[in-house]
Amino acid sequence: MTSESSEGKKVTLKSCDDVEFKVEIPVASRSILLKNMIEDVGETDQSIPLPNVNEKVLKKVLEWCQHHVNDPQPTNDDDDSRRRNTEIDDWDQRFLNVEQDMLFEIILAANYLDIKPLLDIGCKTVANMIKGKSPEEIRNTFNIVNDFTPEEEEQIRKENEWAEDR
Amino acid sequence: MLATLPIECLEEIIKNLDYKSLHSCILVNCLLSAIAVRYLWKFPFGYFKEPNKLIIQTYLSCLPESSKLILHENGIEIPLFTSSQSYKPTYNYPSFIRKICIKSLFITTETLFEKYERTSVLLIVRELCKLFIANSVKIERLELTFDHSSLKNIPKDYPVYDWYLLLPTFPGAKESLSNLKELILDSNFDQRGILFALSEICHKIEYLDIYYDEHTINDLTIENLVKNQRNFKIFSTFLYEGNWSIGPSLWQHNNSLKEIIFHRVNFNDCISLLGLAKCINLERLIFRESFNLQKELFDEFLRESNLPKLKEFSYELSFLDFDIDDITYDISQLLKRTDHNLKRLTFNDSFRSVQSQLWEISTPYMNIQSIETITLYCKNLVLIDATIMKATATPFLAALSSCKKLQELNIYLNNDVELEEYLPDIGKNLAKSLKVLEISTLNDFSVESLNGLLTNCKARLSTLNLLYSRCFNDQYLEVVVKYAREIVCSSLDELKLFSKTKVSNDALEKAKEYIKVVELIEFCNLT
Repeated sequence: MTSESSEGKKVTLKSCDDVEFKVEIPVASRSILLKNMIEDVGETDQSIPLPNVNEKVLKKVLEWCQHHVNDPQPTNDDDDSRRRNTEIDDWDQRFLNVEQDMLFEIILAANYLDIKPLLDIGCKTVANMIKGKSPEEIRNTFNIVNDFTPEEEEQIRKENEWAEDR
Repeated sequence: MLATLPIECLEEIIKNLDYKSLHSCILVNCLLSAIAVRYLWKFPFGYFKEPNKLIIQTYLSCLPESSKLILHENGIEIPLFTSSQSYKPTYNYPSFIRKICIKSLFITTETLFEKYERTSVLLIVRELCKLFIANSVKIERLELTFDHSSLKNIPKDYPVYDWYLLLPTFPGAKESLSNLKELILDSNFDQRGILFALSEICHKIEYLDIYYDEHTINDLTIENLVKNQRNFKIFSTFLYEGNWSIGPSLWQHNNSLKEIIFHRVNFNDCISLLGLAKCINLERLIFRESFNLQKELFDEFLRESNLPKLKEFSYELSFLDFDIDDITYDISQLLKRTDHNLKRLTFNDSFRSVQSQLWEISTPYMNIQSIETITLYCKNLVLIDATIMKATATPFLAALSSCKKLQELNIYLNNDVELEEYLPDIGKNLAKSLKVLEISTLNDFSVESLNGLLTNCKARLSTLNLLYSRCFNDQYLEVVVKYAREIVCSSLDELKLFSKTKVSNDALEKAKEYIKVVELIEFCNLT
């Protein structure tokens, strides 16, 4: 935390399980949802309730926001460039080295709070867990039930045979 | 738990997958399948170098009865997955396509129907295009190009294009083509009709690439199409010989244009480039082997240009265009106004001056003011590619020393430059970041001057090219090896030399430990 930013104003966030976090505005503003709220409401002592995020997840998300507080804000028109870059930096990789449930909760929170870069790396992490796996391995990894009938599965396989390993 | 994520998050995840992983997802469960299929089928032809005919087979299974009937009437038998009449494809596969490329569609279809005449194949391609246009709501890229090679066995009078020129009239075209962002055309056939129709439907084209064939020059009347676009960003053209009525409609997009590439363009009928000078958001401007561009016109452009965001400027005059007496160019205004944004600068003739020197024709080069402007306003250059004359040799050293981020330097030292002192001086002024150094000269230089160049050089080069001088022999090679050993501290990736040098095979063999590849290149030949 730099001395400059610690002098800055703070905002209070309240998780769905009623835990309050005092956060510097630039950190909270990594979330576009919060940034807009803060801009709309102006200075206030009231805490902002976040009904979709629990303490554990909020703490984690704020840790990310703190670390990335000085990153440039993503612009709207770089949608493709974000995707093309499949690399995740070391710190983020360690940060996302968590239980699967936690990873999904972080993605959900990033989506809800509108933190695009965090959503991106979360989704990329899950994508990396899928890459190179067979359908059965994907089902096992994520505990997914196959709800196709054998006939449906066979037909899809046939129609998409061109993409099979050859 | 994955399934509890909202659809938009699942999409974000799936967007990151390669086609094999997408294929796996398609078979995992209904939910993942329904999302992954949309990405897998955006442009399935794009995943393969060799045509994959199974893609066509699936598309054919989606054809409506009317198309099947047409093909049947023309004696074409469609291979089916099943003989069952009640068969329905799991997904509406053609609805996911975002790009139509006539060439890959034709080649892939031809592989599946190898026993059929090409005319039949074209008929199938037509029905497939109809299918795409009718089902996909969003065709973002359209490539209407054909190699002559892929056409060679088709009778000259066969109307290959007559139907594809009708693409914009197929049912659903208004919707599916209204989102077109990229259009790639050639002039093998007269495409005026399709251009007119597209200019009525499409207003979101950002990228237009047109190449004209050397033999059939049709003015494609593209002005109208260009004029009707709302966010036109990239214009690229090859062998344009038109009457330059395109100019005003292009310059009208001076706020949105980001890239312009003129490749072998004839500027004969161009009367002004002032519109180009005001494309304030332009990031790339390339004149490659352009010809008949009047010097006064270009000078006026250079004086007036205000391109503050320019990152790449490349001007390569066609070698055959040198009936110009005054060959010095003042690009200082252009450089100054790029305000440190310029990263890549090329200013040369297309044969890299060497040929012209041999033929005793002058090469276009930047004047002293331009070189001095590099020193002051272009410190972020990563590439310089230029001809240096005696008059600009000394200022160029200052420019070099100011470009601390330079990664690639290609210079062509004119015959009047005194190499013995100049080479070591270049070495002194090279940025540490330099990776590629190419020096071309027709003159000989001593082994000492090469040694001076390399011992003064603090950069750890990966590629060193010393072209067209014949003086290079085993002794010179030793100097390069010493540089690799002592300064690069590992091996050089590549050393390119003129094929007429006198290096022995023994010496080349010995050098292998420190130079991965030694390539001997021929003189570029005019004929």
